[in-house]
Amino acid sequence: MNAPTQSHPPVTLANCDSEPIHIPGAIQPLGALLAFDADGILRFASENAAQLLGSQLTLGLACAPGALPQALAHYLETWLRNADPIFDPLTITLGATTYDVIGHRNGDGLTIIELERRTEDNSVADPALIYRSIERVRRQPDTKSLLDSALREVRRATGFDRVMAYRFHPDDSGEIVAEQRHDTLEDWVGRRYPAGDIPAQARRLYTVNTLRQIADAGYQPIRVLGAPSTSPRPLDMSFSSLRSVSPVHLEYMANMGVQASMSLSLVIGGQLWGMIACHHHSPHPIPYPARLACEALAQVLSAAIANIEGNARAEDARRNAALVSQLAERVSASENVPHALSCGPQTPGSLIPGDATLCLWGNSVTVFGGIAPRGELAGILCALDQSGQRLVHTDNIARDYPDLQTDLVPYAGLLACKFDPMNNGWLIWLRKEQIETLVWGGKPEKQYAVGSLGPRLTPRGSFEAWREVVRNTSMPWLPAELEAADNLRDELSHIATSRTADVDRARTALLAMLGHDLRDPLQSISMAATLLSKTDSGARMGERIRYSSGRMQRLISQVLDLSRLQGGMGLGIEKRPCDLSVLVNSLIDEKRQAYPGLRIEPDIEPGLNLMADTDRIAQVLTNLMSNARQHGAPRQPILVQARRIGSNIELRVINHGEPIADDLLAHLFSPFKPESLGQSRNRNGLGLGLYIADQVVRDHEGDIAVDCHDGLVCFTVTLPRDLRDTLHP
Amino acid sequence: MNDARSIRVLLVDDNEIGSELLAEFLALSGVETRCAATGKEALQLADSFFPEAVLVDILLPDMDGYQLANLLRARPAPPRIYALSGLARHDRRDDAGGVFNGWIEKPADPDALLAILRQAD
Repeated sequence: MNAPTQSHPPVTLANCDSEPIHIPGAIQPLGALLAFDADGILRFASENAAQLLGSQLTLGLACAPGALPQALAHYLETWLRNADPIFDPLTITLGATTYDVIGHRNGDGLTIIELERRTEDNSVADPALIYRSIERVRRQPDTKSLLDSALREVRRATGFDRVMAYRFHPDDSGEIVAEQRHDTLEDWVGRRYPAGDIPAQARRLYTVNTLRQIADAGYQPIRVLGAPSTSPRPLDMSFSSLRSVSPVHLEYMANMGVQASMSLSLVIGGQLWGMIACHHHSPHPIPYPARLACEALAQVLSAAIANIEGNARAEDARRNAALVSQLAERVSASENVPHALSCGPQTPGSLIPGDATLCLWGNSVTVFGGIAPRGELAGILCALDQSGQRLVHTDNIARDYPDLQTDLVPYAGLLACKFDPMNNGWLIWLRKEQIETLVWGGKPEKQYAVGSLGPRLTPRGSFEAWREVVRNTSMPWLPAELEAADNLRDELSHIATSRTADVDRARTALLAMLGHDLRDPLQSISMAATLLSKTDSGARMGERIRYSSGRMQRLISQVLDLSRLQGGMGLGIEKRPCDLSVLVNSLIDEKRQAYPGLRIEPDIEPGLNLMADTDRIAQVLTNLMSNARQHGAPRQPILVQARRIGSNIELRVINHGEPIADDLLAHLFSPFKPESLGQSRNRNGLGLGLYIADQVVRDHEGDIAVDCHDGLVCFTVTLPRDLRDTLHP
Repeated sequence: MNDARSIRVLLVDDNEIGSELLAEFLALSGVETRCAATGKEALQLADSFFPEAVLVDILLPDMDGYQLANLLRARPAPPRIYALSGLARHDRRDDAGGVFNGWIEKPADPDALLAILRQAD
């Protein structure tokens, strides 16, 4: 036996999360370990193996005949050929001592054989008794009684002074949730431990190897040596039962006065749900068969917990769905959202546990439960709105939203969602620091010994560390809780959206009705004007009224068109065969009559036929000519051109004038132009003309464009001819 | 403005000021005009006045213009019937039955209106 397999830097608190605990290079002195490769070559052996077996062992060679006890040699032959990595255990007797022989194949393909000395301890029950306990555990109706029952059975079977159940929280911190202990020991239920107390690598190891024992914390490790020719790869002892443990852990045990321990992992869905941890204040080895029985019990316990929790989750989901639809029903039947949410026994506060639940709607704050935070809610939510997420949540406001911390006093956790953007409708759930809701915390505690690594490795030190980790932190928002909040948000926002649509429709209808009702008095004005102008004295007055009512009519038409377009109803284009040449010429004649001084120079190709809504195209051209007249340079002619270009007809209205400014150009075809406000020159309309013209042209699958060059402003309308219907009437 | 041929026109509109003004204008132009404010009144007048043309508002207190036009059409020697309405063209119901001879949008140009009324059958 020669070189030790490896050497680590000393393990401290600072590096214990990177300690390679699966390759400790040592075993506890409960027996011996041998590791063979597939060819039966001895690759590793504990330093005590030769002495324990009373024979000569050489690393790097197969065992000589007779070097191993006969039964072991026989089984080794079988195990080396066995594809299954887990082997049936057996017992052998060497001299006066009985050994459990535990074999398995490790991740590197080595067959590991451990010989564990069987100790007869009267405090440990017959494994058969433990198996009977399983039935008792399985019958329990809830997690708490399951755990209590399992702990009772484990303690009865193993005789440990203290048997505890840890449960891991979503942040990986641990809590002692149940306990069975000797009367003289203090109560540890409710104690909390930071996630770091079980480092990540240990967590991974406990998930796959679910049982670990330390029979005597004061043990001297026995080194495991490797063959000199072996690759430097150390022996992977992940599944070894004699594996030596971290010195940090041993110091922790020593500080508590604990001399022996055993732990059983509770694994649910591949995750470490919790652990059963056993302590004893004197050395206390548990025979291998009893440990196996405990492991079986832990597995049954895990399965039962998984079942109960799965049912509880499904029940919660059902309850939440019913509650969400009940709240949504109330809201949709009422105009006042916060009142509807608060008027029954169930409120959004019933959906997710918390210390306060509030609703902001418009400017009113409704508190369903608890007290409102210190700051003004609307301002807080306005700041949260910047995130752009559907659900804003944090269990640490101080870390994630430091600017809001003082406003949200006394809360540490927040879940908020906006369900009605139109009315600034928000739902908010708030939670206090979890430490405040903790029962345990300041219980008197006896003094523990402190080892070389300091007071951190005591239950008190652990609790202080946990308290540091969770400072400013609320209980986390669980996925199911976030889902429930999102479902409620979704329902309420659907209701809000359809309400907004109703309001929009009503507004559109109102505008349309207004336009319609204005036409009657307009008709009267127009008629009165006509009558007035039939007598000489009223002629001038009559013209004015006629002119004004004409202008009013154009405005009404534009508002009506706008309301139709904004309401998504379209302009109701009706295409018929249309002679554009005739139309343009007659519109030019009209313009000339109305404005005798105006020069219009037409260049109209005859016979320009197309399918179009004649009235609407006339509206476009009238608008373009009015614009040219109003915005064009005085005393300069307006050019109106119409010609056939390929399968299109191109209409152009050109005036002399300054180029249109870039900022105006950007909004030229928009309904609401910032420039229209206070624009003194545009007396004749709402600035809707080009917007409507653009829509008309689009409805004809055409295009309208503007360009400015050489002192000219030129609007070009391109319309596809599409003569199918005129060719085949 | 005067035309040799005088025609009889019935105006049906609950906007009485508008109707009166239009009637006055038409009278100045030599058109014989009666006004009705409801569909029922219009039907009664049609029995005694025998209008050649009827201008019907679409939104009447007792029936809509389509119903009235259909009732008038059902009579022997029905008049020409025009809708005179503030409803924009795209808000009209599908006039599939062709119940109206034409549609005149409010406010109507008085001279154009006159021309329509005077056109031969």
